[in-house]
Amino acid sequence: MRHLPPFRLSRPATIEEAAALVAAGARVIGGGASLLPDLAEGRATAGHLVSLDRIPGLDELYANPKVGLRIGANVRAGRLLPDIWTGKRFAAIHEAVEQMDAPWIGNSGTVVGNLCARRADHDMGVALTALEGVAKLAGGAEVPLAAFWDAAPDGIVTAVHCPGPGTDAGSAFKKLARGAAPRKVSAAATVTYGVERERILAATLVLGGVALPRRFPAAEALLAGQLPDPGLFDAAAGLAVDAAGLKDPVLAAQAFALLRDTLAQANARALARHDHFDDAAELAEEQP
Amino acid sequence: MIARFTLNGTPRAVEVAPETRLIEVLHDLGLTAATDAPGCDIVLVDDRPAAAGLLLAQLHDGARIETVEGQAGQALLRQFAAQGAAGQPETPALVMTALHALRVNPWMTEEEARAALLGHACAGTGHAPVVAAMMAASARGAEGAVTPGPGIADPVQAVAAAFGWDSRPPGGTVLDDGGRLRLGCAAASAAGIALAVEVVVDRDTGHAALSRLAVVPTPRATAGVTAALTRAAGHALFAAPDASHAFTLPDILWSGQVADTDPAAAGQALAGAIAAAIRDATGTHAADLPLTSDRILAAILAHDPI
Repeated sequence: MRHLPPFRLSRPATIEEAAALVAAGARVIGGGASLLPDLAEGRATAGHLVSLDRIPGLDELYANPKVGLRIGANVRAGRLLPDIWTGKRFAAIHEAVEQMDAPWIGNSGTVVGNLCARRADHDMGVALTALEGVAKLAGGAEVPLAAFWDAAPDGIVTAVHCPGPGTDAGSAFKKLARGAAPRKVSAAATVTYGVERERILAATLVLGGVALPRRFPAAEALLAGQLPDPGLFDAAAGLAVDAAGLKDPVLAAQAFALLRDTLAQANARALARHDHFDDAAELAEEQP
Repeated sequence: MIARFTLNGTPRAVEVAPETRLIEVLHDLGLTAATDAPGCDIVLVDDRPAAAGLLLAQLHDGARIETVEGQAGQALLRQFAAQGAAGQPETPALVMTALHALRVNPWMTEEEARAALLGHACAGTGHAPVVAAMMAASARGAEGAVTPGPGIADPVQAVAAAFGWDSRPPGGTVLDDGGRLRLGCAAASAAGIALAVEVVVDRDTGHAALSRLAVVPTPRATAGVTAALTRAAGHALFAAPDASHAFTLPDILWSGQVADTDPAAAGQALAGAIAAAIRDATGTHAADLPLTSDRILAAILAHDPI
């Protein structure tokens, strides 16, 4: 890599100081894994970088199936891997981190930095969008990730929060890495069952890699209220691929297969939550 | 500003500009083996592999850095040369990745060694010689070994030796005549803590009990860690965390001192270790926590029908 162009580097102790610097034109640096190569190659410019690493409270990583998943701006991606609840109930983001092309990047790059780089070939955003993540901004504003991709919000992203999955819900992330965007294809999905555990209550479906992450409301609406069925997943994946408007037939075929398989995997995980032991425990509670 | 690093065990202070990357600091100090190319710039920063070309030096002020130069004369480097895995641009990075993997898991299998190399191209040699070098430098290898990292694997190894695990058949030690009671064990480490657990599993009922537990935490964190371990064991073995009152932790073998211990990390490490120990005892694993007797029995029956 080439030498970096000179810049100022600030490490404020409060989020207010950081926000003031950003308002004055400075740019936030997370772990630097995305930004530094961009600066070196001239794809990005910055006269003043602000690191949040000295601001307390931004290194929270908390995963709980009832409360949700909270990832602070200073949380390095690799920290998600050994977290039991992230792996079990927020599988999509666990898989996205696990499949990072260079695993060591997870020891320096942050999850929030991966989002804020706004690059199609970055994976965290695909998984977190499917998990209905919300970007928390300094000052208290919130932007759902589905909208985050339409326009970069003003201000500093301090954390990403995802709601807890339903009792019978599963998620998954898959990717086909064929080099950089737009040849890369990635997909993430969630499937949630209703209390009767028969019909799909809700689903999310996200495509990335070929472009910034994108949800497909029509495909998600098709899944809601239906019995799970391979034909249904084919139809939902087909709707999504049509909506994505991929011109290259190979890319479209890859996206279709990936969306369909990701849905099927999320569905299998949701159904695997159906545990006869839980039934017995619930029955015991109802009939003491 | 003046940044301070511990480089291969030696404290160094260097003047760094905001745009100075860690790789440039290393080169200025004569540590030139790691080069500034993708995948070739990996060093250990505070015990974890990281790409020195992608780190701003100022943001890592105070870090403990290890490079391949610090491995001169050590078993791992000798084995890289002996197995024909050396001499490539990527070699310094591979050595540091391998060193980290072996410190965390000195008893690694070939499969685990291959998994540790994910993301590396191993251009010029392929993965096989690198895996061979790692196996030879592992605790299983003839030369037997990478010295485990501080606070990472040495207590695990010490505890494993104390428990007599090194001379144990695979698939769980049979404790009774009928082969019904099986003993399994596992070790785990997390930030600042290492622990080893031993479980006894009844193959007929699926009941699992913690029989021995060894932990290396900080003395001042002991109370919080014990509480976290009790909660984690409750979560791992019973349906409800409240059920943790239904058992008491076995007497913990405390030993040694390490830096900071995070109770949450300790609890997570224990839950994982308990699951691994049950897998060791039964040869199979239940998919979900808590590992109640119903689930363990279902897994045993699925794996090994009567």
